[in-house]
Amino acid sequence: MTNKDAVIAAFLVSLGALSVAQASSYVSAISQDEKTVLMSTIAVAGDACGTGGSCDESLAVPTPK
Amino acid sequence: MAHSLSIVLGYACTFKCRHCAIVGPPQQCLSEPEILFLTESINRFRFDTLILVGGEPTLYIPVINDLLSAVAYTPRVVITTNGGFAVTEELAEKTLRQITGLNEVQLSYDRFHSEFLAMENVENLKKACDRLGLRFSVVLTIQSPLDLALIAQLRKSGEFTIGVQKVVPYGAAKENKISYAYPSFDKEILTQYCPNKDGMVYMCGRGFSVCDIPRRGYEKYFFRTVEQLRESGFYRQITACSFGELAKKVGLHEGTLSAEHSCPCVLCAELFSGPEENSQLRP
Repeated sequence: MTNKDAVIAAFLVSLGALSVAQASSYVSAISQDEKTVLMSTIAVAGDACGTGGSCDESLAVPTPK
Repeated sequence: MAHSLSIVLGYACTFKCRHCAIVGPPQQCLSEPEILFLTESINRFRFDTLILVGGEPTLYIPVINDLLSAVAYTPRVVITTNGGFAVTEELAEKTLRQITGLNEVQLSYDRFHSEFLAMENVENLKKACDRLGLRFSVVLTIQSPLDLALIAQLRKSGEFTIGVQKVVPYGAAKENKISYAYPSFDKEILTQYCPNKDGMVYMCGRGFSVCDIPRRGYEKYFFRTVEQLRESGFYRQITACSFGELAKKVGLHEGTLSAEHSCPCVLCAELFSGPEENSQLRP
């Protein structure tokens, strides 16, 4: 796994998109173009956060983080 | 006791998002008796935060104001909106000003909402919130990790919290066969608890529960009062046990779970709405 892949995997985990176990294999399977898109997203993500689960949008971000 | 109460004011919406999980008759909204009963419950249990949702909550501003005017303390008040009204900054501000006691606006924006909502509305709403001193955030619902790229578009409207959540395969999402693309079963879910266990929901016409996801047989997990909900076996189990502990109680083995069970709502449905052998977890 390259450094870039590791950065993307960590980003996906931090936002709750994938678990640690899933993120590495996911990143290794996506295209270079998709990795570039995600890297540019990481650069501007700022105050983005996972909401702790997948539930209805009305219940998301219950408290400021 | 739950910290927040989400209130489904009604089911009418100005959008028809393909992934929406909330289903109900669009003509239905909180009735007068429900408003009276709800405010009594809110004043008794003094929830820190009231999250007003729908449907589209700005279609129910008189209902919101009736409700909030009878609340005897000062909770944090949040609306979750589709932002369709924010056609101009002025219209956005005018609409938000009508809601007395509002503290925060959560905008739903994702690939599905973007079929109806211009990015200009996001900017207008953000600016209106800034002017009114309201906290602004965005809820981004993703169908795949690559949907996170929308964060870059949202950032063009400024700095604010973006909360990421995954599509749940219920309601319109189920009808449209939309779900989050989990690559495999995520064992970590078994160590986790219901993401809504610290909150409660009041769904108009249905009652109190922990969430508003229309899983199989979910009507029986709604209760007329907060007390009835808290005393129910369902509430006690879902707020006290991890999904792994609940699976153990009903004899559900990891080997029988598939990728879709990585979603807490799907796993919850499996645990609580399953066959008779799951009777230990019934309400």
